Amino acid sequence: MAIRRYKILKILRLLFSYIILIIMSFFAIFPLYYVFMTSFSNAPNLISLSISDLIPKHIYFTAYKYLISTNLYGGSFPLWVRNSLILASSTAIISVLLALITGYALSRLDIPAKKTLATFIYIVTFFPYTATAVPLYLLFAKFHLLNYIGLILAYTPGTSIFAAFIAKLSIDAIPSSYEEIAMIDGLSRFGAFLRIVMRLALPVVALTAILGFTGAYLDFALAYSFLLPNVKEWTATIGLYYMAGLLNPASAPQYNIFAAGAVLMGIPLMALFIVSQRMMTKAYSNLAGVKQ
Amino acid sequence: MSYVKLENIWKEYEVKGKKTQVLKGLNLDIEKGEFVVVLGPSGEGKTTILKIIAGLLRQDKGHVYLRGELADDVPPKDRRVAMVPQNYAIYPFMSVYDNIAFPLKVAHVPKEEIKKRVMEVATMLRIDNLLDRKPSQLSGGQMQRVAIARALVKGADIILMDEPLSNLDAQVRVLAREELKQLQRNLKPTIIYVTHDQVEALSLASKLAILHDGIIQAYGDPMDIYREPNNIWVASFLGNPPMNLIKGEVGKDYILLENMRIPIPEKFKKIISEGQKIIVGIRPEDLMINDNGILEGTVEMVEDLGPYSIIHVKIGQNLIRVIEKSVARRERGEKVKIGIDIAKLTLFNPSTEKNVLLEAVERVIRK
Repeated sequence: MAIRRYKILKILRLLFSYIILIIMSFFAIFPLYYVFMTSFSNAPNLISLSISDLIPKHIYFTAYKYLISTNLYGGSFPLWVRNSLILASSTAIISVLLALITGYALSRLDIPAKKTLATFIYIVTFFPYTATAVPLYLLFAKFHLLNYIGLILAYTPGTSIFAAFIAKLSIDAIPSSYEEIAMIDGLSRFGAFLRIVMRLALPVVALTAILGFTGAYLDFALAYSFLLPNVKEWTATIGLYYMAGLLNPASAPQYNIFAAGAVLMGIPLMALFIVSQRMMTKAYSNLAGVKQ
Repeated sequence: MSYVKLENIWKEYEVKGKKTQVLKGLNLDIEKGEFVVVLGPSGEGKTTILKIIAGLLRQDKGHVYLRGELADDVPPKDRRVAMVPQNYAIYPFMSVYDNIAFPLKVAHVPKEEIKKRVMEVATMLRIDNLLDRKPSQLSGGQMQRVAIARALVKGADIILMDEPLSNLDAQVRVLAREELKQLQRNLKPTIIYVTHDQVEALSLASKLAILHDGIIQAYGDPMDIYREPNNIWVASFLGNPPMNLIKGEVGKDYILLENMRIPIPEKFKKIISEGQKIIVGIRPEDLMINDNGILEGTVEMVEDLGPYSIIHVKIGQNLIRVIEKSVARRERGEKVKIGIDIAKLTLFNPSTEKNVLLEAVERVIRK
């Protein structure tokens, strides 16, 4: 009797869990599906949406064709995506170096006011990043840095200050004897950092790279304020904003083009995530203190 | 001339705003090819000494000489020393082969040469069948050998070892100890080995250095230190169970211990004088319970350890330990008589805490 009751309870528990999971995943997946479907429609509006529209009757590539072929004020969408990729990759690389070096210093080196500095860094990560757009613009305008270099300089601290804190925690967990042996065996401190510490903290390196990459790749506000005058230097987010006609309130925005742009921009991100997925799971479980 | 020399080394640590002086003017001279074991309780700065020799830490005061040359400003990578740390620090992302080859790769040694040398040390340490494995697939004993192989491969003649056997289980440890001894005998590197394990220290060392209170308390042949500890601290630290120390007074031709008289051994007769306070040191194995013993006391506690038992006996105010072969069973409260092997006595001066014999020798040298 008791065993049977236990079995029924188990089935009920599983049933309950799965119902909740299915509802949650519907809410998570539906917007993505909607954007995906919209990108293959040739109707630019969002008004005529009924249940039957969710399964498309025809697939149109007009939005994609428009995005790839149209030349807007001397720039084009592929060019802007390329710009975005360069910008995002540079931000990712510099963020990783900055975050790991800072994290290493906070974790290992005997620097004055170390604890205060670490706490300060932790507090700084609480501030909303967009709040700094205006002061950053004013500051960088003064230094004639309203260009890619300026943007990278502006993006990097945003990512690396958060990542530095994670890197510190991660490096704290690596026994210092690893670098010490490497130093005795012929590497300098910096060499041991590059070849041993960075390698052992690889999950954090991957996490920082992804944070830096997505932060810069998806940013609109800062890129818009820095790069607007020069169309050839636009990033994909600015380009898409104009291409889809979201700027002009008189004309209705072409939502199918916006959706197609979002899908195209998502491809590199998806590739990046798939490549680093294993490292990411490691990174999160390391932070949770779970040993792999 | 000494091969590794530490001269008046001072080192201070600051932990949570509290400063602790770990090393207080430490001196140590190590000859080429010696196996020196630095023995001391935990937290007394044993690892600090190794790090200072390796150049990973900078001493606050004093000098380090390697191979007769001042090495204070030489970075770790140029000191030509190797180290086996306590946790072995085998890089988890490299295979065993790459781990051993790492010091050679860093030095840009040609590939064929690397292969030859790695195979050589791997065969010597019997890990040549493990070279393709990842460190996570190794046992503790295998990890320890990989760490030793990595230390040997670059041919450094000074090897620092930080309790390399402490992570092994008891049976493997005995084997590893024997192998390490063999290895040192064959290759003749200068090994500086730190540990808190007395058995390890006594069995491995060609010279034993006892660290306490920031300085080397005793340095020399391990059995000499064991037999003739140079001060009270060393006597109470070395040996398990340690030396019995009993307060007494010198009489006419005897030493008075709790109203019991024991004759003065010949070698002390000219050194000590009547009325002098003294501390008598005697090893538990040099005492025996028998009916015509000089000391009388009651059994307080019995520790049976298999081959022998440690009998705790109360004599007046003193509690002393006697090692007895586990034949007779002793009961708590039993009255016993204890005989002393007089020739094995050691005497300490209570005011200086030093061995009176060594004090006398020092006096002669000073004159």
